[in-house]
Amino acid sequence: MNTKLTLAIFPLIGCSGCENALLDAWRVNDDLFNNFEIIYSPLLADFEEPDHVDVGIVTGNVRFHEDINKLLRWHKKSKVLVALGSCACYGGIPGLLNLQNIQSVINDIYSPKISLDNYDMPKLIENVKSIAEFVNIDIAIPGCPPPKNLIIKLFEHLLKGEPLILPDKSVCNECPLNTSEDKVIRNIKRFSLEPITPNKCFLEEGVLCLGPITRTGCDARCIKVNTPCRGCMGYLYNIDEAVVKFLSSVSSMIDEKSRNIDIDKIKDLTGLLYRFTLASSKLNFIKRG
Amino acid sequence: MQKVGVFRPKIIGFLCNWCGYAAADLAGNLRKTYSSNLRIVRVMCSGRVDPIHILYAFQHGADGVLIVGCHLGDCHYINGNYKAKMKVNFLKKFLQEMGINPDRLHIDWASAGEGNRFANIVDDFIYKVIKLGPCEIKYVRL
Repeated sequence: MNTKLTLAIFPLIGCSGCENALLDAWRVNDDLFNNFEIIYSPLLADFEEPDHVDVGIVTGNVRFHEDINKLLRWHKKSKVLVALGSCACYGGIPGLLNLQNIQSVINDIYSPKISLDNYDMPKLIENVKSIAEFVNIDIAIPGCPPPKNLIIKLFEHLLKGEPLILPDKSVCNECPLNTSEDKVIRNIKRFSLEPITPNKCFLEEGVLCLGPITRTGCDARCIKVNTPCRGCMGYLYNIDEAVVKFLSSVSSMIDEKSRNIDIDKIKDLTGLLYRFTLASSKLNFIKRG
Repeated sequence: MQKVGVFRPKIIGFLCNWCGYAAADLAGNLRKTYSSNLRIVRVMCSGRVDPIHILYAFQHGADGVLIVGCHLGDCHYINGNYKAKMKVNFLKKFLQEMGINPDRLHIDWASAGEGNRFANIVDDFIYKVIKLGPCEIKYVRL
């Protein structure tokens, strides 16, 4: 008698870091994961497609037209569809391609001789979107890679059949760094190129840290190893609203009398603010062509 | 101004209650003529203008956004216009990377007594926007 819940992990365009995070969680918690069985995963186990699975886990983002078909097919096959990782939830790093013209990307990587209309590769999607625009996702676990405790929580909830609700507090709630009463930015620094005071809030030091708008759940793991938050857990509000509010609050924090403020030091502001979420942004102004 | 072509830009102006709006008022009282493409929104301070207001204006078809506040150091609320200036600096960088010409966003200062200056600011900005042409983006629903 097989009472195990069947799992299918199907990767789209991604780096397979989410599978590694899943295996890592699996390794430390055998009792819980004995209730599950992976029956399909091209990276880990078998790649023979079953007809039905209980839980379909999608990692990565949609990039080719084939990916959409695959996604829709697995959406029908699985009872519960879980989006694992920032790429599946918000578009992730591949979403940054929206800043570029596709032809220029092809020119850079392959050759200018190849045009979009005549090449023998799978057809690229013009505009990268998050998979939530194609199918309904039942549970979304963000993170790049997803934190171990959230994955364990996900499988506990899958076993009980309950919905999983992500925490609605910001990373600053778990941040161990010291802050002062008056939050003032006196100069803008580039992270890792200029010295910063240890154990002091990154924003007060002048390094743009996305902690205030990013959802917690990761135990501030980047900040504990002295790296500013990059926003992989997704934002607390509507994505564009959060980004613009962050811009607004940072500019209000800047000390107007300081002469060291040089905004041009911030290279690639959009890439910084939308590092994981550009694909699901509604503010896609980007001119193509 | 309308001689330049058929293109009549839509400009949203955020004017601060104490200086910018008073200057616009004075320009009217002085019978000063300036282009009618400006749609004025009165705010209590230029520092109150959130970047989301500006982006919303661009998304809904504005070709340019003009912010007029008190002269630097003369803010009714001590430092609101410095904050507005910094927000505009950040937003210009953001707009450029997102595909909008940053010249479509302009911040300037006019005190309550400078009706003529206000009219000149508006005319210059609208002339600049007419030269840039219609906004690069289409209507996007947020």
